[in-house]
Parts: sequence; structure tokens; C-alpha cells
Amino acid sequence: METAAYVPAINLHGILPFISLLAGGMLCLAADAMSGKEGSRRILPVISFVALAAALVSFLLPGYPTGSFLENTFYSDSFSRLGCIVILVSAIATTLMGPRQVIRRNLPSGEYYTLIVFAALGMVLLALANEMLSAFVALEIMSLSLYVLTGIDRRSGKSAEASFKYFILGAFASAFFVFGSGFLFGSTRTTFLADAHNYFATRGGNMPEGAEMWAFIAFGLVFVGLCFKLSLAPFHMWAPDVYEGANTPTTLYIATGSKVAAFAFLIHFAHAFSSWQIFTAPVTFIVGLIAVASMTWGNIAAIVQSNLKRMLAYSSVAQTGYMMIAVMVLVALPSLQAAGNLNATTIANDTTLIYNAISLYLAGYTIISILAFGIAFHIGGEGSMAAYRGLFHRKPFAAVGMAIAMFSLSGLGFLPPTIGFIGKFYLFKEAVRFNMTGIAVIGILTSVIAAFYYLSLIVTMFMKAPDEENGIELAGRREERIAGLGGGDAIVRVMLATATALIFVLGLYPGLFTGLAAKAVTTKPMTTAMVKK
Amino acid sequence: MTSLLQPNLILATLLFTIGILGVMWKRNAIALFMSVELMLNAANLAFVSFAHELGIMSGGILVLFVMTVAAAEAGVGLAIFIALFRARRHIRVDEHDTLHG
Amino acid sequence: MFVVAVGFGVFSLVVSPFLGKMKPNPTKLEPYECGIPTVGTARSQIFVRFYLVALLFLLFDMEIVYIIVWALAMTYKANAAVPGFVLYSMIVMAIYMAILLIGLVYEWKKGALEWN
Repeated sequence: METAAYVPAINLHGILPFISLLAGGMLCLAADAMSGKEGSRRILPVISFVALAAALVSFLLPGYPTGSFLENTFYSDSFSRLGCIVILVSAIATTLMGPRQVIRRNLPSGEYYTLIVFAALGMVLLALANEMLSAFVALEIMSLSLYVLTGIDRRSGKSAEASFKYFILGAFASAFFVFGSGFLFGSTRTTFLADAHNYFATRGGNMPEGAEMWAFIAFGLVFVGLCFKLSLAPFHMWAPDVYEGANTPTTLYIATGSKVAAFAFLIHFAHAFSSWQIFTAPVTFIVGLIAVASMTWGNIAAIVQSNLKRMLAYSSVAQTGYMMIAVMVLVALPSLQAAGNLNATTIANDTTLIYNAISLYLAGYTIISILAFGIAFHIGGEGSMAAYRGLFHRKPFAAVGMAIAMFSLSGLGFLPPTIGFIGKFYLFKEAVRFNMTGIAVIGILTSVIAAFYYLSLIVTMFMKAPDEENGIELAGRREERIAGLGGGDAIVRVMLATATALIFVLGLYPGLFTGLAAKAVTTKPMTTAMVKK
Repeated sequence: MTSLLQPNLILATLLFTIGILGVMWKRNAIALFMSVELMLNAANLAFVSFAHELGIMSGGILVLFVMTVAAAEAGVGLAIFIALFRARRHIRVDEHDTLHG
Repeated sequence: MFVVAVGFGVFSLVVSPFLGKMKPNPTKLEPYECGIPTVGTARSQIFVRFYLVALLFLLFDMEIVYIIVWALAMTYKANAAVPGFVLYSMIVMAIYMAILLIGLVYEWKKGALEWN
């Protein structure tokens, strides 16, 4: 047996984002160790912003590789590339809110920015991962950073408690993930998803004894692990507590970045199994069940919440439920295509359309979340509803922005079309196109339920008179005033205005976003380029 | 020699189940964390026994990574427990209900 | 044989409390019958700083695992024969060490290695 170790060919552009994020994080750490408290508060936001922006630019450059790179460990297609862009946008938004948050709660700025950059590294790796071990390590880089970011406010018991709950359930989910990867390794003899895909395609019909059951167990366990990370319905119990207890920028980051990353990996993972004939029907059913549970339970529970961040947590459970519709369609796609005798171009075209729909939805969800959480952060008060009563009479711009976010999130804003509406529209359209009308109808019905609480927040902001005690400053604003940030800062305002503009611009021209990865090859020519034997 | 795969897998599954039950029933943070570690080690056992059975090295290498991650998790976890202890003076889980959902 | 051995062990353990005569007194009941008397309870509080030391030990401990695997791969003859392999491995280890070094500098500067 010739065991020739070799020097792998490294695609430099492919790993440029990783290098930039790793170097940025390290630089943050070193700079924090070298400079004092005030110095690091000034330098670190710049370093982390530059690192994140560099990573974003390298994804946007047209030469970004498609297909497998770094010895098949990572796979970039149009969807995961758009996912990475969305992740980095959310990381940048979190960084931009950083300086104010650090002043508000007197946070250690070194750890704060470093962990944002490292979490972004984990998310990007996870979104591109095409191998179970890399995915697991990426998942942990992301999760460990987020646990600490959640609990970084050491003066607040709430923050510590949220961090604790997130940690226990997150570690629980990771254990499911690893155990599942073990069974995948056992049944398909590989941890590479591309090879697993080929294995199922060639040997799916006659697998050895036990291997079939192991493969099902593997999918089930990894899927449960990812469901925890995505806070889908039966596994969402951590989400409201963590969203409420974490500081608002971190909440935004957990709600958008970590979800997009886990979702992108779920698509890669489900794709590996989709070539397995007997797998399609039961899994489509289970995914559909979870989608329905998330949509209904998330939207119904959101109605009774008295804290904005808790409400948005349940709302995000529901939004992830809508995303699962796309997973359902993608899992069922190969068998539908086999039944319909379609040719290869149509198959590629279908996949492209679904990828476009779901990446548009993710982008919409992220931008709207940036606006909603950004305004919640801007006016302070940690999400208590009292802060929003009669907000229009005190801060008209913030109230209008929040109203736009709520309209858009509910999917109602179709005149002019917002990105929230367009994303949902394409998603349901794809579901209907593949004869999944039932789940599309449930989606539309639950959106109508959701409209209730989104609109009731708007009513609270516009119709109610402000509370008596509005003279009292909301939590966090006093520290800002002392630090000379009385009216908030320009950066956050510009960020919120940009998000608002994007909601409408991308709503009118969704092609602007999906075109960012237009050059990417959208089919998945998975190869068995196994390097070792 | 008979294959040890099946007994090992049964043991791994048992350990994993004990871990799950521990996470659900235990009320002390450290005990919860030990249950999670038990689950990770069950996964390690599964990996090693599969790697041994199939004769593929990568399964064994994977275990090293899982162990490292478990160590990192232990680091972060204990730090979080200490922070929680400082804020609340105890780490009994069922009494942490300031945030309830 | 095995059954007999186990049976004898179990039998003698089970039977001896019933046959022997019990005359307990305070000195006999101490954990260490001969030696210094015990002080306090075993369930004492541990200083939080020990946790920090344990954590740092754990992390450095895991770093060694990778270095050993790397070193083993370096000594493997077939690997060393591949052109460029040694240089490549050295670069990889240099990057790894650089990352660890920055971590160490951070720990040092933040005072995690001091005992005050």
C-alpha cells in the first residue's frame, strides 16, 4: 500500500476569507493585550471591521472559486457563497453597534471584537463545509464564541443565565452532531459529504447489513443537532431566553449569522443524502412536520410576549420554519426529477431557482433583522415594551423604521414590494411548483397569524400615548451620554438607513443580490476525487 | 476474532442515552456538563469502533479533534459557570428562572 | 475456575460481617486508623483560581496532542521522501505555533498566569 503524503494544492482565493478573519481575530487579540483600555476601545473596532470587510470583498470578487477546494473539505456554490456574504454583513452590523454597546455596559472590548471575528470565521467555515469534521470544528468555533459573547456582560445576572442556558443546550446539540457524524462515517465509510453522496447514489439500493439503519440514525442525530442551532420548533426552548438575556448586538448576530451558517450546512448535508432513494419520502415528511411546527408554534407564542426581543425570538423560530420549506423541496427534488424524466439542464435550472429563492429569503431575513434589532438597540431599554409605547411621538424616525421592519418581516409589505415579501413569495412559489401546495398554504395562513403581533407593535408605537415616565432615560442611554454619545452615533444611524434602503431596493430588484454569485456554477457536480487510498 | 463493533456500538448508545437523561434530569450545572461530556465520549467510542472495524484511520484522527473541542468547551463552560456563580451565588439549574419561556 | 474464584471472593465478603464480632470505638471508626487525625470535611470549597489553572493546563495539554501527531508524520520515511513535504509541514507548524503564541501572550498580558 503506497501511502504517499503530498503537499496539497491550495486555492489561495478560496481560503482568503478564512485567512483574513483568522488574522483579524489574532490581531485583535494581540492589539488588546498590547494597548490599554481606552486604546483598545478605539483600535479594535477598526481592526475587526477591516478584517470582516476584507473577507466580504474576497467573497464578492468574481474569481472566487466554485466547487470543492482544500482537499474536498469545503464546497462553494452559489448558495453557500451568498450565505457567506449574508453572514459577513450581519457580522459587520454587529461590529458597527459594538462601540456603543461596549460603553453602555462597560464591556471588555478586546474579547468582544475578537469573538465577533472568530464567530464569523466559524460561520463562514460552516457555511462552506462539505465534510463532517470540518463542519463540527467550524460549528464549535462559532458556538463557543457566541456562548461567551452572550455572557460577556458580567455585571448582569440575566446575561450569565442566558449564556449558561445557551451553553448547555448548545453543547447538547453538538454532542448529537458528533454522534450522528460517527454513524455517517460508519455507514458510508467516509466523513466527506461528496463521497457520501456518491455512496448513496451507487450503493443506496443494496447497502450492507446495518448500514442502512446507521445512515438513518446519522441523518436523524445531525439533523436534531442542527435543529437546535437553528432553533426549530421542538428544539427552540433556548432561543427566547438567550435572545432576551444577551446584549442586543449579540442577539442580532445569533439570530442571523449563526442561523444562516447552520442552514447553509444543512443544505449541504441534506444534499449528500438526497441521492438515496428510500430516504426521500420519510425525510421530506419529517422536515415538513418540523417546518409546520415551527411556523405555527413560533407565530402563536410570539403573540403573548411582552418583551420585544422575546417576540423577535419566536418570530425567528417561525422564519426558520419558512426556510425549511426550501429544504423540503431540495430533498424531494431528485425523486421528483426522476419521476418527471427531466433532462440535465432543467435539473440545474430547478436547483438554481430554489437556491436563489432561499438565499433571497435569508438575505431578506438578515437585513430586516438588522433593522429591527438595530432600532431596538438604538432606543435602548433591552426590549421592554414600555420603550415602544408612543415611540412615534418621541422618535418618529425610529418608529417608522421599526414599522417598515415589522411590515416587511410579516411579508405583508407588497406595495411597494419589500424584500420580506419577495423572499416569502419566491419560497412559496417554488413549493407550489413542486406540488407542495399544502405546506405553502400553511405558510401563508401562519403569516396571517404573524401579522397580528407585528401590527400590534405598530399600533403600540403609533396610536398609544407615551408613558409618563418617558422622561426617565432608558437603560444604557445614561452611560452613553456620559461618554459624549448623547444622541447615539452617526455610524449606527447610517447603518439603519442603509438597511431600510436595501429592504426596498432588493424588494424591487431581487436580481441585484442573487446576481452577486451569478458566475458560480449552480449545479453540484460532486466528484469522487478521493485523494487517499 | 469476533467483531467488537456491535457491543461497542451498544455501549456507545447506552452512554449517549445516559448523557441525554442526565442533561434532562440533573439539577447541578457541573453534573449537566458531565452528562454532555459523556455524550461526546460516546460519540468518540462510536468513531473509534467504526474506524477499527473499517480499517480507516481518519475516524481515529477525528476523535482527537472531538477531544480538543471538548476541552475548549470545558474551558468556556467552567468560565460561564463561575460567572453565573458570581452573579447568583449558586449553580442549581432549576432556580434560574429570571428568564422563563 | 472463574466462578469458584468470584464465588469465594463474594462469599467471604458477605459472610465476614455476620461471623466477626463488632466492637466499634471512636478511634477505630476514624478514616485513617493510624496517622494524623482528619481536619474538616472532604467537601470543602475549592478556590476559583484553581479552575483557571486547570483550564490553562487542559488547553496546553490538548495542543501537545497535535504536535505529537505532526511529529509522528514527520518521522515517517515515506512522507519525508515526498518533495516539499518537510518544508510544508514546517510552515504549517509555524502557523500553528504562531497562533498559540498569540494566545499565550494574551493570557500573559491579561494576568491569567499570575497568582494574585
